[in-house]
Amino acid sequence: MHETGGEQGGAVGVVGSTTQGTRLERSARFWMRAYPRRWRVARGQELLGVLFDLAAPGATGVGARTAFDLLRGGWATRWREHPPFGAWVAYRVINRTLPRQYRAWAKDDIDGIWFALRQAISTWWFWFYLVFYSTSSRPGARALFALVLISPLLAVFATTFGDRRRQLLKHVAPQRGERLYDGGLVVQDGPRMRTDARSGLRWLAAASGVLAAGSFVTIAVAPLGWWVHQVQRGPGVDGGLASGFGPVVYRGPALAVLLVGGIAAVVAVRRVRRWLPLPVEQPFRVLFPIGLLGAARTLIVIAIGAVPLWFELTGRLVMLVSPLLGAVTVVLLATAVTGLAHTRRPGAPPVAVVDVLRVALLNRAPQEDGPVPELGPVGCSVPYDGVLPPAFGAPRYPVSPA
Amino acid sequence: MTEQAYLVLLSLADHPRHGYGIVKEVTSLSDGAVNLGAGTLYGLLDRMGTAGLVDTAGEEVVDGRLRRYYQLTENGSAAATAETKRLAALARRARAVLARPAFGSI
Repeated sequence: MHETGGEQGGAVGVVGSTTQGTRLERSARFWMRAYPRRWRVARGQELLGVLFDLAAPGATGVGARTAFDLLRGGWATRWREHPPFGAWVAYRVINRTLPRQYRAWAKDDIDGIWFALRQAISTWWFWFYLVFYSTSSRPGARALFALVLISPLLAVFATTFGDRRRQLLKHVAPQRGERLYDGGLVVQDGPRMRTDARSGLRWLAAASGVLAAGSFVTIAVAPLGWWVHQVQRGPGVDGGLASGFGPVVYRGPALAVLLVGGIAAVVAVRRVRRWLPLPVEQPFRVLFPIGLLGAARTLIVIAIGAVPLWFELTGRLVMLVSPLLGAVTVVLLATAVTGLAHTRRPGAPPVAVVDVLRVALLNRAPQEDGPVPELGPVGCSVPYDGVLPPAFGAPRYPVSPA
Repeated sequence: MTEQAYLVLLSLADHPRHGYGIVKEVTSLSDGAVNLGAGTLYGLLDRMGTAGLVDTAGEEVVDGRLRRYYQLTENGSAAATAETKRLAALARRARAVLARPAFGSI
């Protein structure tokens, strides 16, 4: 059987490596993106072959008519395979499982990069707060409106492997008693995905370093204030109370908080040095480097931490964030730097960021990860009328119609 | 049944064909009047496959291009025959209408 998958990787080179062929292929693949991902995986190579057969000799791209034809065909396919409106609304808003024939659609939806964004804009509170802050005249309403507006985008960066895995298990996994077939997706033990300490700690060190430095600068130079009540005096004013920011210096307590953070950092470093060299076998773990998404997440965390620091630095708001953030980030910075130094030693066992944090913050030795349920293709040949078995002890399920 | 769908069914009547083969045969059957685009062709094949009119009949790789062959199912063959009969009956009635003497306008 010929391999038909891998349209992304190009399992079949369509016309070899000629520049003309490559440009035509790139153009064809671009317009083929109108089709759903599952369709392209199953039929993409075949459609690409027909497009090449139909292309004029020497063509370096698909023509306008073909491009329109692909767009129309692709979107018609999406429309045809889309769940009915009611089922789709229930899936989006209350996370209800779709009818079985739309599982492939759900898998594409959950695997898509904008899944979290689609989910976020489908919640009632997103629209409630969007309308609320767009019509509000309160101070700061504009900033909050902007925050609500970009929150779905932040949700995209906050989505983890675990989120997608859980959603796939809920919406795509076959139910007990269902007929099975070769290559079909079933629930099975899978590895736990963890961020590799070698790349993750570098970003953790960078983020905590930037925020720790920001906190120090804020504590040192901010026009510090505290909420005070003053009795108004003056001509025509008869002693009413007015509230506002008064110049109350709190650098002393702030430095005390930082000192506590420094002590905690020393403790964390000692814990990392003591526990981390212990080798732990991890048969159910896959370490992955932090990647572009992780780097973007780190930058977002820095930005979120920097906002209150900026408010305090400019004297607009005093929330006592800088000493607390300073203390926490000092601990994280010390942990990250020590952990990084440890992982770079020759012969050091590979560890995950979570191991280092667990050791430093909770004083717990690294633990072995257990398997996690995930969806994967059936690992063996399924006999005819093979059925997903019922749970142990449960009554025998009737075979569902295919 | 649309004219394009009917022509695709006819193109598969004698033997299985791949996508490009279907496009060529449809052009030939329609005497050059219908030139199917790839998007239109695969939309038709998808819908006919769902309706049980066509089925896949193997695949091969030629010059690095994947070719999947399609064939008519029994239902597809019956649908093509029924549509041909309908069109033939229509053509017969059309000929009869056109053969009547014209009495001028009312």
